[in-house]
Amino acid sequence: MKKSTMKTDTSVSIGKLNLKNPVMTASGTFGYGLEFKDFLDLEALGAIVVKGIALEPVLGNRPQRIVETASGMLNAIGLQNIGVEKFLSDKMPLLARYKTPVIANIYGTDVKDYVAVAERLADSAVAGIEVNISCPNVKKGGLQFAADRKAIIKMLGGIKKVYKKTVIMKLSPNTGNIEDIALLCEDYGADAVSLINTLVGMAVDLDKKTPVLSNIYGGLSGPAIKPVALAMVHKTAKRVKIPVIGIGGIMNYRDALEFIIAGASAVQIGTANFRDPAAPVKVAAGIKEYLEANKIKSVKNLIKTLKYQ
Amino acid sequence: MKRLTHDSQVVFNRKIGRGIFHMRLAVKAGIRVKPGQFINLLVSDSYDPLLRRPFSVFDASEKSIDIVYSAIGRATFLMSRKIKGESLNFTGPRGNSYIDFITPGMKKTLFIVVGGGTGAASANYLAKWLRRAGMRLKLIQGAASKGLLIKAGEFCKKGVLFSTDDGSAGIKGFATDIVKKAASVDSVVFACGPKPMLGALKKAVPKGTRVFVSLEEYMGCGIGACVSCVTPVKVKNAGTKRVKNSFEYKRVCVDGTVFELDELVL
Ligand SMILES: Cc1cc2nc3c(=O)[nH]c(=O)nc-3n(C[C@H](O)[C@H](O)[C@H](O)COP(=O)(O)OP(=O)(O)OC[C@H]3O[C@@H](n4cnc5c(N)ncnc54)[C@H](O)[C@@H]3O)c2cc1C
Ligand SMILES: Cc1cc2nc3c(=O)[nH]c(=O)nc-3n(C[C@H](O)[C@H](O)[C@H](O)COP(=O)(O)O)c2cc1C
Ligand code: FES
Repeated sequence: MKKSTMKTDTSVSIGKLNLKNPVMTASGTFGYGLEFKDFLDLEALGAIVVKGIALEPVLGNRPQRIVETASGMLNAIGLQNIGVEKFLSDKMPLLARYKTPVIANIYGTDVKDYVAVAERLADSAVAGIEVNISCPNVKKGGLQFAADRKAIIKMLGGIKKVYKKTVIMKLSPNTGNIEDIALLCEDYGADAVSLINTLVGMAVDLDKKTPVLSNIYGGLSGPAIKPVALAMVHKTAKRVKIPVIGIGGIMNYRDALEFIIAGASAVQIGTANFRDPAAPVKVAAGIKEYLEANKIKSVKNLIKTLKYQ
Repeated sequence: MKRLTHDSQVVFNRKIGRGIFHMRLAVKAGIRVKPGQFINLLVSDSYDPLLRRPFSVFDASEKSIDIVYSAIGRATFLMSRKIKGESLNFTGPRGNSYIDFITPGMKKTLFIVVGGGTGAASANYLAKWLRRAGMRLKLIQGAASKGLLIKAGEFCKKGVLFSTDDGSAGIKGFATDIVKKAASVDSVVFACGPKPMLGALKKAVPKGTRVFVSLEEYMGCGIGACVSCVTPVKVKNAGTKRVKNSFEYKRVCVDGTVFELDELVL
């Protein structure tokens, strides 16, 4: 029998990064990656995006930090993290052993902090950074920058000066003009945008008459937000030329392909990791099988191919 | 890769009290569990419930795991309707063990094992382990009332002490009242139960008695990645220049579930 000559190409490019497949892990749902090494092959991932890292360690919010809601969950972790120094000394050497690019999700309480973390990561084995200007769960840092055009311009200017590898801006669905912000990021040198971060939400304990989360508000994620995420990815991909990374409620390869067809060049898997710690590699395998079954040479041929009735 | 995801089959799922069920899961591939560890069950194929649910191991053999659970919400209600032969996926076992804290110097120690409510689950497996290891053991269970007592496994053996809040079985009062009488500085207390019970333990034992407790916190991943399940733990050398905070948040799912009571900020 003649062997099939068609080789399916699942690789995609995000800025200067070449990923073997379009499936990454979403920040905050995959720890520092190593927690998952007994559940999946870390080398079968397109990229590993680690938990948000700040200049100094952060304690995070008081418990209760999460609660399940209809087809989703709210979280208000408060960006607990070990700080950039400890990340580089304790986690990165172990992560660097795997042949998968590591993307550091970074955040700060002011523009200066963001730039300082980026600078500290510039000469490390980290392959790229994802700048979180969209965390709804901290008083300072995150959401306050999400729609602050001046701050974003200053931030990107500062970061691009000290950080020469791939810079991804992670955008918030809580501002109402996500495409405009994406366009701004593109204009000021971002290599890609990723969206969406969580939607601000709340749960009430009727028996106790208190909020369920100590932080009162949390970020909604999971299947419940997928339609919102799809719409925002679609709108954004129509406006910008840089790659859009789709995030929000992706549970399986079909969800992932929907995002890709709607305009995403890659996807991130978040809450699904809690249900199935092997979810990202199953999504990657599913995409490959789909391409083979439908005789599609490259996943790139699917990006932004939505047909309109 | 270690095997940490398992497909299991329900062997039985019996009602053993008011809204309380005892479920055995067959694990063909084999499994090893230490007392105090938990499994994280995927209860439904749909996204309701979305997250896994953690349950302490009540008993285990090489090819099976038992849990005892109280049907209090969506997931546990669905679990209560599972019948023999149905499949359930779980991750784990995860977490540290009570026995990690047992030192060679404790050969003659009296171990007081306390389970409050469904906290009796991990107390059972620990008691079994201690009994088999030939250790001195006093087993105590507290519940709100008779119908909520878990009468299975080690709790069917002679010498177990019970308390109920309403006095419908055992002594009227709290499990900690029994601990108060039994504990001395030379004894070691292991406990699992609701937060108020764990807090009361501190006052129930003579100063210097070592107490270890297994905690429950709302979990996201159950594998140490999401920092949802944290509990405040005192920091050594707090107040010095390098250590700013008096406590830090530790993950119940992998840094615990068992902590020394003295270290916790309850
Ligand atoms: C380490 C650990 C061991 C446990 N062992 C046992 C046991 O042996 N027997 C037993 O009956 N129960 C045990 N629990 C509690 C059990 O996990 C909850 O009762 C169960 O998750 C409730 O789910 P539900 O959908 O039925 O209820 P829901 O209506 O969703 O919630 C009821 C309550 O359960 C708790 N809960 C819900 N989801 C989670 C979650 N993902 N993680 C942790 N807590 C949650 C919350 O406090 C909530 O208020 C344990 C919990 C932990 C963390
Ligand atoms: C527990 C938890 C922690 C998160 N932490 C971060 C974070 O540190 N930085 C960040 O940019 N996004 C964080 N996110 C947002 C996710 O990366 C993702 O954008 C969001 O959850 C939507 O995707 P999902 O529906 O697939 O989970 C977190 C999400 C969850 C559920
Ligand atoms: S449940 Fe995710 S860290 Fe413990």
